[in-house]
Amino acid sequence: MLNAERGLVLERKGNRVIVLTPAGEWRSLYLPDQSPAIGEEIMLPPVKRKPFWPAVAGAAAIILLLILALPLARRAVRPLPPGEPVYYVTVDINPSVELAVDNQERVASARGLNSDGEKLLASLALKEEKIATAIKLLTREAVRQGYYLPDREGAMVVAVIPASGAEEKQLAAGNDLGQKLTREARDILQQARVPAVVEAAVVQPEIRQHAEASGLSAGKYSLLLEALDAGLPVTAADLQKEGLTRVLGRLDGNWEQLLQKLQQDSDLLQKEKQLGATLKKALGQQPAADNNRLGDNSNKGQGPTGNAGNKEKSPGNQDRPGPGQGPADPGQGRRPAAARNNPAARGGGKASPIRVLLEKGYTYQEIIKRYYNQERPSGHLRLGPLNIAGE
Amino acid sequence: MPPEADPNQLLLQAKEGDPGAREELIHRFTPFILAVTSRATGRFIHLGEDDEASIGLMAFNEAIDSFRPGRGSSFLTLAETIIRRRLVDYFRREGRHRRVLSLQVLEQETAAAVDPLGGEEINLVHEMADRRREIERYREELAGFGITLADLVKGSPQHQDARDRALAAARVVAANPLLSQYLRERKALPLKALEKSVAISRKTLERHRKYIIAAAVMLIGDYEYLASYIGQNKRGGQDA
Repeated sequence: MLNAERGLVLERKGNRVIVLTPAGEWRSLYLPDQSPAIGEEIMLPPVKRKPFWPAVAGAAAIILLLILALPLARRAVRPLPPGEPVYYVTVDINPSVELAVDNQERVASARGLNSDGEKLLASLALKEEKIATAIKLLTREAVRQGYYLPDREGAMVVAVIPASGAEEKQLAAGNDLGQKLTREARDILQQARVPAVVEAAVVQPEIRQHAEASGLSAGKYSLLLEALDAGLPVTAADLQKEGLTRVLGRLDGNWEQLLQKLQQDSDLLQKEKQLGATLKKALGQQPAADNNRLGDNSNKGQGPTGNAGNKEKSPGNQDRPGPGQGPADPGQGRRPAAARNNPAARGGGKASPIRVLLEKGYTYQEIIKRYYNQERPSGHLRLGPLNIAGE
Repeated sequence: MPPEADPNQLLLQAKEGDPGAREELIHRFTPFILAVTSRATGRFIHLGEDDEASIGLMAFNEAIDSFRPGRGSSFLTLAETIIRRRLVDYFRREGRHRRVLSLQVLEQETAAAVDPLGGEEINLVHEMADRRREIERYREELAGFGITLADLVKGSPQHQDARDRALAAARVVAANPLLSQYLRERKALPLKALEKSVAISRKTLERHRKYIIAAAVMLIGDYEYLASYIGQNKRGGQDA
């Protein structure tokens, strides 16, 4: 290995030099961070000529294949045991949707909590997306479908629910996630010039169960609690049928404050207890004890029948100002029990290096570059004009 | 130490106190040290026989410590400077520098031979300037053959064996006045004659035409430094 470890610089154009090695070999080198003078000798990185190009080509081909195969692989992997949902995120615009988020902040499954929510999801493919991206897409789609209009007020409640346990840590992490998501949504709305209020709330898993039992999204249910606490005459039926802003707007002009309060409130279970009878009345049904245990039972209680008293107010999802679909299905729409407890499977298991990089937010191009750079000889030491003093 | 380790990397490791990297670096650059030492003393230096070789090794070792990356100078240039300086120190101590300094060095010194003892670094500056001029001349002459250095990068024989054969062909051309004249006047290789005198197929000769011309030009012309540069790698650690 005594060959070609140094070379005499014979030509330099920018950062590219041509050197002659003692072995009589001419080589062209790219030296990003040094500028040796002509006539200087420099140390050369080892030649990997033979393995070099095939290796890079091979690596590139493999990477390309991986990239091409990734969507396929995902599809193939999907039926396998899922990454367990770590959070549920409900988004209420008027459409209400719930996204199950796994430990890598990716959407494991998405379902509409009312008919508008299902319609909204129908035009989106959120599975496997980062939750932050999913929120962006959702918001954009809501704007596109006319749920938000420029220069008209609107609201969005993002509720983050830890899938299990409600310890400080989980709630704090959920709060961070919620903040991140509201920022994303606000960005999109701002771009669309919609002066909407976006707030996030972290709620306990029990709240989600109760909400589900009463046919509301966790976000709307939480808001219901807050509203009742503030002494507003809201019912679950109102919230089932109509969008947030409409219901709230009708009741009290100051609903933004309500949203903010919701965000600061960390123990809704406590509130639930305090409200007791008021809440039951608002839910317009049998003792709440039934509901929080059995999701299936709850379906009975939450049907349109329980809400007859409020029916005359608005026949459908009329919060939406845009031109649109016919009278929407009141109530919160179908919720197949199977889907609920089976957050559709997804690529769990071990993450590939590329996957890991993708999780970290690298783009494919950056990843390719990274792989490519590993194959490339590292740069030389900086060289320059002859230093007479030698130091 | 993996054989394919980048010497630049070795240098950094050695600086950080990795004795293995330092050992490997010195081992790999023994030919360089011997070449510099020989050039400075003006005679062929044998490792293990001549004190100068040890001086050179020690100076190289010193250079590893003195080198500061990013300070503008190539490590090898710094090493060459330090080797020369230590050799001068040594000559001075031995009181026999006059005897061992090369003619070339003496010639350079006569121009401004105010302080022949302290002039080693200045010599190196002169020599670098000479080298640069030599390289410039060489490139111009190659241009006369329609050859650029980039052509040579592209047309360089890939394997050491093939390169050695091509270099051998170039030596044949350089050694034979008739062939060199043919090359100079026709700006082309005397393929027919060459084919007979070397064991290389015409096809290979043609393929490596530019490389052979470039090497022959280097050998024929007055390119002392360049011509001596090629083949330095042959001087391994044992140095028969």
